[in-house]
Amino acid sequence: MQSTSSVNPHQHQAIDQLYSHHHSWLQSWLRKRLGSAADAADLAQDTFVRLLCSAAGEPLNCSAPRAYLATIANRLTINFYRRRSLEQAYLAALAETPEALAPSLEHQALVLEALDEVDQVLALLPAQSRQAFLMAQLEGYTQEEIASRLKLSVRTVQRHLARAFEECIVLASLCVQHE
Amino acid sequence: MSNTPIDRRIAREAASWFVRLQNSSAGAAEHAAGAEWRARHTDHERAWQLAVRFSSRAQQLTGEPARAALERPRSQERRNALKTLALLIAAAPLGLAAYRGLPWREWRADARTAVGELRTVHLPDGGQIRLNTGSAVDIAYDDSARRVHLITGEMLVEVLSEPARRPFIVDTAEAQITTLGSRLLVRHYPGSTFLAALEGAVEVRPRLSPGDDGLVRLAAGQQTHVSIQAAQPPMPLAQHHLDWLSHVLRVEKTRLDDFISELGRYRPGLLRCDPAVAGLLISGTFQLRDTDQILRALSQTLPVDVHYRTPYWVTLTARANA
Repeated sequence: MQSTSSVNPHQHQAIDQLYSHHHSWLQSWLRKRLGSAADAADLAQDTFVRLLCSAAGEPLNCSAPRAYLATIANRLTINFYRRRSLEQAYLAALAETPEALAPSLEHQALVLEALDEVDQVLALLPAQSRQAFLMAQLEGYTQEEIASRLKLSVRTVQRHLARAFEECIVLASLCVQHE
Repeated sequence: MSNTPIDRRIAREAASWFVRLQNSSAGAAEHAAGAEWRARHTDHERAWQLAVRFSSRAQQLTGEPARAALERPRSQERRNALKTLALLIAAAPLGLAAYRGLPWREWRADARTAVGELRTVHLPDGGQIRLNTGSAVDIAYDDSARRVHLITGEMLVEVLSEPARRPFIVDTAEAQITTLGSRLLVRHYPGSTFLAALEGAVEVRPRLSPGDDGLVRLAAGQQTHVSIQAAQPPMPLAQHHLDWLSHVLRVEKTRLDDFISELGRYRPGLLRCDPAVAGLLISGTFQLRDTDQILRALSQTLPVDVHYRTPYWVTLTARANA
């Protein structure tokens, strides 16, 4: 379960060093990009957590520590904006829902969690795979119906759908630490 | 539990099987070949289960707001996250205009659970469905009725009574169940439906006798089995029906083959028992979260050997003489 358990002491020490030498640099670098001190602090923290989690699998690159940290922080920043734009789009659409049908706050949180999981995968897909996936999974179209609507062969539709499942399997097997 | 990343090649194969077998034209031979592929290696089955899980996650997201969020424009996202945000905020009112005028009163959802999974589905009227392992439901609400089709598996439904008094209708292959407000347990067996009313009153009609002569009423604390022709008279509710909610399987003097078939619901892959040991009796309380542990316990308390051809292909046989 603990994905950090197999980090060897040597790597742990290397991460400690990175943290003490570069944490405040990373935080101010992020603040300039994000324009918010609180978001920058969160993302800087996430960057080091990510480092700890991935350290078990891949060797640390310590020859260019700031470039290395910036690469991870960049990925997290893109993810951060993706999640924020997702939340805003969801809440905006929710605002259009009649009150009687609006889900409870608790339910909204659950939906957002599931949305985020699906959205992370969709973000990795070309537009047509994304569209085929949404038609199949959210709207319940059969593969044949999708093929005729998108003017593709069934085999191509299957390839698009398989692409989505391939990405979800790889992604999910990488982040098993949260259950 | 292995938590290692799954090889992309395996992920691709699993995805391809998963998509092909979802197509209704896939025949028995193809399904068998898919099952064989899954059983060949633990990572195959892991990859498959991740696809199942992702698919059911996505299928929960059927409301318009969720769909609108996933279909939001995102071409700018990678190029410049900051700019995209500004664009989206500006574009939101335009995009939303497209969703106006849709029939909001209709609400549809499909939900399913993977083997070993429990899930809670929240209903738009405030009620909820707890889905047991390997179950699937379609949910459709409209002005006149709240309908849930139990396609397979087992569910506990909390039906809230409404001021509008729309009936809550559960359809299974064998029966139609109607209530205005209750807590009911429905399980689909091959060829029959089991129904228990935990709170409130419930009416059930077999598919082939939909009129009043086929009707059976259950009061709170009663249960029945329904075939497609007839419902049995109500019986007092048996114990242990809700053990699965706490991931427990409790049996008393149960035949090993019955126990194994029940346990098999919670464990991916094939789980079988040799006819020679099928009649052994077993009692106990078992934690369903770890079915390997249960199998180990069986081999310690009964004269059986547990053979793992793969983790997803397990057979119980009479103990070889030591």
